[in-house]
Amino acid sequence: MAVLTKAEAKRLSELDDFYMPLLDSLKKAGVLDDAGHRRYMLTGYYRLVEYLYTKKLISAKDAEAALAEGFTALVASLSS
Amino acid sequence: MYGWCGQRLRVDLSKGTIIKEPLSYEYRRKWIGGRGMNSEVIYREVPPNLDPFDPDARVCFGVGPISGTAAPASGRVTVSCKSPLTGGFGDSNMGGHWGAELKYAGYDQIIVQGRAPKPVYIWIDDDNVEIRDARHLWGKFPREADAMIKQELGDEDIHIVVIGPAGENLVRFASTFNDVYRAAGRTGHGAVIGSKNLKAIAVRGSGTVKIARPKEFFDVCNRLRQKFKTDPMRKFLYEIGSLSLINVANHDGWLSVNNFKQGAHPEAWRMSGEEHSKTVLKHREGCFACPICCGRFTEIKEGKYAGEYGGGPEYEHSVPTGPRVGVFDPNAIWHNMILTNNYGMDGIETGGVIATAMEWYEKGLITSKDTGGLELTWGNQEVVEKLITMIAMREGFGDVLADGASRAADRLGLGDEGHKYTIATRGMTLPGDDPRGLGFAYGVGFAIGTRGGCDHLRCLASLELSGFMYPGLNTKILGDERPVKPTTTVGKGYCCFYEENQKAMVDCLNVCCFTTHWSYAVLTADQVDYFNAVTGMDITEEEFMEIGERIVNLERAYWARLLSGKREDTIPERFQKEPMPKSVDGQTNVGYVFPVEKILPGYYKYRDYDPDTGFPSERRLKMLGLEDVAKDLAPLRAKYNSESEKKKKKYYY
Ligand code: SF4
Repeated sequence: MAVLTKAEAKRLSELDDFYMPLLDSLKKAGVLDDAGHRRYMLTGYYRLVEYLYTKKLISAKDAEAALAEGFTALVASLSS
Repeated sequence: MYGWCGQRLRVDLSKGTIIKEPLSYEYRRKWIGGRGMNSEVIYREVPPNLDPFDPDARVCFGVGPISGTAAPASGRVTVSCKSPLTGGFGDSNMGGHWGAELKYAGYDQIIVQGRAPKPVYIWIDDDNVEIRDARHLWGKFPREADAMIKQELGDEDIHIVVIGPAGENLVRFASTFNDVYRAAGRTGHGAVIGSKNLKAIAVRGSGTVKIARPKEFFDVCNRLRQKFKTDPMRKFLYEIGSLSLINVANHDGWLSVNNFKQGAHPEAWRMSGEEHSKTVLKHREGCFACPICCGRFTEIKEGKYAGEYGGGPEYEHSVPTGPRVGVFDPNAIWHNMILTNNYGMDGIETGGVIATAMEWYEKGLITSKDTGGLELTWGNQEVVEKLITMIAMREGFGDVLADGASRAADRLGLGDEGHKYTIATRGMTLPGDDPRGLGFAYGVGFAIGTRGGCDHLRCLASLELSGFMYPGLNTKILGDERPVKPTTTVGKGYCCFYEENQKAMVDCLNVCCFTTHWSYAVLTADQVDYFNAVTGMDITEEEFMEIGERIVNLERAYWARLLSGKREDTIPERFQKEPMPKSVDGQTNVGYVFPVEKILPGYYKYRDYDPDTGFPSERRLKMLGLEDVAKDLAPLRAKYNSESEKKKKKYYY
């Protein structure tokens, strides 16, 4: 099931500083709690991708694309 | 105990007492070492309104738990104080070998307080610590004092922290040196040390650093040293030194020329690292356990200054008394560097204050009547050279400039127009890199830096600076490769937040930032690995970065207690309003300005700074275990936004 709506994914991918809004959206979607939100703010994007993969919210292929292509690939995966 | 020595020295020069204080597990775990422990002491023990030259003021020398081990470049030491230049929180760090030696002598930190009745130096020989007469050393250059102390103590191998005449004369930007040429340049602690009648701290240590999990630790070190072999930044820094940046800076328009009026100059190549290596490079030298070895030594071979010899140059030391004041003759630049080192002054502020005075002179705000007859025209090396000595000795117009550019503007009664040309924030002139070219995240560091305007190394946004050498790294950490472009606002808020916390930890571990998150051979996860292996702890990457965040917030709170916050989070008008002019063919940033206001609100969100005051929020402070700091700031939030405060123009504190 998609974690983000298409509209949300589009909004995020158009932002200049997307990371906090992405963490906020994941919290709103119940994927992250307060502690998780804070953890990935402190440790960076790749740790977030690792988490989403271990939680099976994205596939190995998606994780690879998210690390190679960045957050636009990630939000696309999370909304499909 | 592993990693740490578990004790610090407190030397009271008024009372002549030396106390060894234990450092608890909780304290070490919370503040780690170096910058962290020093900042904690400055926050708790130096009231924000205390005169930095008051005997009650503290100056701290801190090293970290991995200092003195085989971890890459682990020999640095952080020097911290209430800055006499800015009036706010101040620190800087230096390489060399003194930091490692302090660990071998058995100490994680030294706090010096009080004022000796006559000049003294401290001699630490393992457990034996004494305060010795230094009257015969007063007035000596660092290299002279270093040699005399070694001779007196009969040991060539000891390591010595020392100040020069500028520190003794309370020049507000005097530096602190160790191993003669390794300088902790910024914020003026050399003058605080001088105000205590302290000339030097000599150390000899015969101990070791105990490592909790040696095999794991050496595996990490070996892994990292292998990475350095092919690291692209290491290659530049070793072969050409930090002056490898000159030609890049000139091409991308971020070299400070004539007080930042320009970002490039056709003659800049003459002082490039490539030219230096071909002409006057005497030899290279690295700091303790350094796999990069960027240090150089210079011997001037011809012209007026032939025969002069000294450590350096570094980019940040050479540009201010070179292009920033319009001087492009490389031998003159090397000479100015040797001179400022001899006197023991921060090269950045020295050049910054002279460049500012040159612009005041150009704009007619001062005349030769104010300067004692000196013609402060761009590129007038004779005057630059004279002024360096006059500043250090506080003679004539030099005495005015010895207070730093911002205070000098007030001493001369130049008003807002004078401050407009100081190119400083929170009372300290900025280093020689123009954010209109070097990068917008880098420039944000000038606005929010917790040691005043110059946070070029303390919140170094290297992901934009050297990120291009490591394709994919910005994506890995920030989720986006676009922030690698210097002149974009994209992703810069998060970049600053991440790198600032990271650098705070670099400065707690007291490793060289050139080895980590400048060159990217050592990443955060690697630091956590060697920290845990040395100390026997098992902290997570999240906890590690949170400690960095705690330190940044504590330092920020020091400024908040001085009622310095959001309104002061700015950068000089020049960068915001004057489009970068074209000075050389192919310059990449012609026409750029730096829209700092576009980035700050996003950065504040990551920090959870109060949007009205810019102070750290109560919520975040409590989360970081700084409940008492939250209490300190509570009554100040409304005060900061009172009408009377809003009217005040604060250039320093
Ligand atoms: S990179 Fe340079 S400044 Fe840093 S530790 Fe090595 S020699 Fe010293």
